[in-house]
Parts: sequence; C-alpha cells; structure tokens
Amino acid sequence: MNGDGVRSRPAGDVLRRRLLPLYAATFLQGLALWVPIEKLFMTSIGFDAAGIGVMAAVYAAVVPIVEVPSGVLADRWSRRGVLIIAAAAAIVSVVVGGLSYDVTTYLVSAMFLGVFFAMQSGTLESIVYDTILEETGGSEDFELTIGRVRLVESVALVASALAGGVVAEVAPLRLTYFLTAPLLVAACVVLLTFREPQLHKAEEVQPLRRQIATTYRTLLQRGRLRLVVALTIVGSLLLQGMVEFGPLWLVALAVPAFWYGPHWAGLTAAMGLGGLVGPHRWVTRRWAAALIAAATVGCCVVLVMSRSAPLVVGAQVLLTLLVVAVSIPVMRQLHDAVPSTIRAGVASGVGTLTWLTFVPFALVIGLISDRAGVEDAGWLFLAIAAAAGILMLVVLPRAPAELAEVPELAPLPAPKEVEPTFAASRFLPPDDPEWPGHWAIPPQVWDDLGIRVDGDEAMAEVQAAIVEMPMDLRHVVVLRDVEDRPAQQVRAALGLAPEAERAMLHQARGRIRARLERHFEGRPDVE
Amino acid sequence: MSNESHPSGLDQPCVDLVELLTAYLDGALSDQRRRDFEEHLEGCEGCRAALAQWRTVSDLAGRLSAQDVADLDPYVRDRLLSTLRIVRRR
Repeated sequence: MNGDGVRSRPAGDVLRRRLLPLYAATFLQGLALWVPIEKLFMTSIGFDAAGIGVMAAVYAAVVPIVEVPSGVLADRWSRRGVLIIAAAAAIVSVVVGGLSYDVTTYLVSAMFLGVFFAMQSGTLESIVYDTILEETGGSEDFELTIGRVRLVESVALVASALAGGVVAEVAPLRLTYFLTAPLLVAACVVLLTFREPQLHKAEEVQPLRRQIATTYRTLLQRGRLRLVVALTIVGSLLLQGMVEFGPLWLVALAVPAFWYGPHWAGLTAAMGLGGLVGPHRWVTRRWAAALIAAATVGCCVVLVMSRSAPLVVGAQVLLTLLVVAVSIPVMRQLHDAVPSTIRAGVASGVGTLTWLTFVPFALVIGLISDRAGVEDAGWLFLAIAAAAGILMLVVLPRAPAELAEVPELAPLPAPKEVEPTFAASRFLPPDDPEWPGHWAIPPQVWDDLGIRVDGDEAMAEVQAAIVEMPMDLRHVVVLRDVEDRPAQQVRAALGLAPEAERAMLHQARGRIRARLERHFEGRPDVE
Repeated sequence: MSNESHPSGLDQPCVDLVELLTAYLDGALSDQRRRDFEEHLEGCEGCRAALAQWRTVSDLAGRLSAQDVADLDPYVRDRLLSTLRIVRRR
C-alpha cells in the first residue's frame, strides 16, 4: 500500500507535496455524514420506495447529461474551477437535502448531487494525470497516485459511514446533512491552494450523440464485445442497485438507525476490497468464475429469502465486493478488445449507456418495492444476478482478451512498396552462373557470434524500430509479436486479408531485423 | 512468393526463400512448400541464420509490453477512468 520507501525520487516528493491539497479535498468530500442514513431520512420525509426509485432515476439522468459539458468546461476553462463548482453543487445539495420536508425538495437536492458527481468524475482524474505529467514528465505514477486517492476516499467514506450512524443515533437525521456542509466548504478552501497544472492539451471531446451511436454500432456488430459490454452493464446495475436500494432492506427489516453506518461502511469497504481482488489473475480462471457467478446469484437469493439483518447486510457486502472485483478484468477486456481509434468513445459510451440503463431499472425497482415490498424487488436483482452469472461464466475465463472485429475501420491497404526482406546487394545477381539469387553476404546467427541479443540496448533498438514504423505496420507487429495474438484475430480486427497481414508482419519484422543487425554488427542493410 | 513453379531444395534461390520466413513460422505454407523450405534450410547456412534472426526478432518484440510501443497515455488513462467510473459511484 505504501510505496514511498521504494520510489523516493525528488520528483516524487515534489509531486506528493503538490498533490496534497487534492488528497485533503478528496478526504473532506468523502466525509459525507448523511449518506448512511439517507434512505432512512427519505422515508421519514415521505418517500416511499417508488419515490426513491424516481430520485435515483433523476440522479442517474442528470449525471450523463452534465458529464460531457463539464469535461468541456474543465478543458477549456479550468479543472480546479470545475472541481470547486462541483463542491459548491455538493454544498447546495446537502443544504437543500437537510432542509427537505417533502419529496420534491429532496429531488432538487438529488439533482445537485448528480451535478457534483458529473463534474467531479473525470475532472479529478484528469487533474491528477496532468499534474503528474507536469512534475515527472511521464505518467508512470498515475496508477499509484489514483490508488492513493481511492484509498483516501475509501477511508473517508468508511469513517463517515460510521460517524454518520453515530450522529443519527443521538441527533435528528437532518443534522448529518448540515454537518457535512462545513466539510465541503473546507474542501473548497483547500482546493484553492492547489496549483493547477497548465498542460491544457486539447482533448477530443466527442459529442454525446456520436458516442452513443458508436457504442450502439459496436454493440450491434460485434459478437464478443457485446457480451463484455453486457456484463459491464449488469454488473453496474447490481452495484449501483446495492448502493441506491441496499438500505431499503434495512428499512424493511426495521433495524435501528445505528446499523445504517456499518452497513454503508461495509458496502464502501467492499468496493475498495473488490478493487484489490479484481486485478488478480485467478479471478479469470474457470473455477473462480463459476464460484463468483454462483456466489453472486447466492447473494441475491439471500436478499429475496432472508429476514435476518446480518445475513442481508452480509449478502449485500459480498455482492458489492464480487461485482467490483469482476468489473476490473472485464474492463480490461473491454479496452483490450477496442482499438485505440474508438476506445475513448466506446469507454465513455459504455459509461453513459450504464447510466441510461439504470434509469428504468431504478424506476422498476422502486415501483416493485413500493407495491410488493423490497424482497420482491429482490427478484429483479436475482434475475439480473443470474444474467450476470451466466455472462461471467462466458466472459471471465477468456483472460487474454480476444480482439473483436472492428467494423468501423476501413480495411488497411497492403503496403504499396514492398521492401525486400534483405537488401538486394546481399544476394548474388540473377545471372550468376553458379548460385543465382543465393547469398553473397549471408546473415549471421547472433547468438553464435557471442552477442547477447536481449540486452537493454538491443531492446531499445527493437522498441525504436517499432515506434518509428508506419502506423499500419506497427499495428500488425504490435498485435502479433508484442501482444502475441493469433493471426486470425489480428486480421479480423484490422480488416486484413491473410496475405496482406502476413506481408505486413514480414515487413515489420524485416525492419526490426535490419535495425538489430546494424546494432549488433554495424552493417547497414536497408538503405 | 508468387513463384508458380516450386523448385525443391537449393534450386530455390535464397532471395525468394527469405520472403517465406513469416509464412513458414505461421505454419501457412502448403505441405509441399514447407518440405522444399526445410530441405533448402538443411543445405543453406545463410537461410538458417535468417530464420534464426526472424525468430529472435519475434521473440524480442514479444518481450516488450504493448505500452512500450503504443499510445501509452490515452490507453492507461482511459482504462483507469472507466474502471473508476464504475467503482466510484459515491
């Protein structure tokens, strides 16, 4: 968890100091005391389950609407500014929430919360990314840093979950909302001390419509990717469903307010834990996939059947952990399967699609809970969990992601001028009386010359050779040799005929070979 | 590669044979062509070296990661952002 001892470069110290206000603001924003008792409070001001469904739907509808414009604003104006606006929206949200005595007012509060999340999501990561880039000149520290941000956030959420439960025991529920406001104000102040990175490189912001269109096309035309996207969506439904509707079970079981704290702490901790489990390789083994699928369905069976609060809470926590854990290799597969030309569009599109799916889901869950009780809403969760389980069995075990077809990409033309694999001067002329076309200057087996072929310098040559290739050759050699994907997949992905694909791979290898030969033997082969 | 007649063994000039290295490693040659290819290799040290170099190239490229040679930044950023978008609901 703490890599400080390992990587104590001066740049790292400067970076950490510079990022400190972001960590602090994240912590303060994470201390949302009202979250654990929200559903209890909502019930107390007249929300029924259907109303909660509407609230969640309003929220889920606001986020994707605001997300893209907020990204544009962050790029064109100021990322720090957008973060501060986000915190301001959160302040409005908690104040309005705390002042709510009816459903309508609280819906307004939920909308502002949606604005907060939409403005914050993406912006925080971008600001972290650019700061790292500016301080270190690279992005290697990004995963580590974002990991720390997540950790800080998770600690704050767990702490606030427990604290919120305690406050709710001794004080009116709405006080938790008002107590959250000064923490958010403090977050704004802290953000003002942050020195914003000035690397405002123009980012491509796709129009929402085009993103959705691309995503739909991708969904409709690709067999395999469709399953990955489907699993991403049903997983998100379960996760967001737990976050949004999980506490309804506690309401139905009439547990004391105190319980809402540990319940929420359990859910948030499960997200963190799932994030730790997810990257492990065994998650994508067949037996693990079967186990996880069975456990996912099992958790929902408990939610339908059980009347025991500890059992229900346990099932919700485990379900959350499993879904988050699975989401990580699945997300990896999604990205592995999508070429970089449409990656951003598809990734954001899947996110948007997830939100859009959540709207009807939330409405239906709310309606069922209202008419028939939350246990019956559990059946919908069970149905979705069953679908998720089946998808996990199909999608998870394919650890090395298969490349799907890319219909959008026009087939790449075969290279126009085919370079000879070895320079013509290496061979005897065609009219050589004895050995026409045979070696004049044969290549050497490098190992036999006592050359260490995989030294750092040689690897750098290989890398440079690939990086400098024309895009079409590079695509092929990266997929085939670097990523070691089967020829079949690569052809499908790039829309190439077998001969064209092989010819391009051959040329690409030839370029690397020539460069290595020059490096090892100092012989210029390709003029 | 477009030779209509496939002379066997060393009758095939090296300059043509080296164009088949990738196809050979892919297992994409017809049985007859593969036999000719291997027969040629047996008698031709230069082409054996060329094949060895070809294998070395493929092997070394395989030791690089996709990030070493691809558009690292957008990739990493995207992957993380979407993972987070799912995880960070609240």
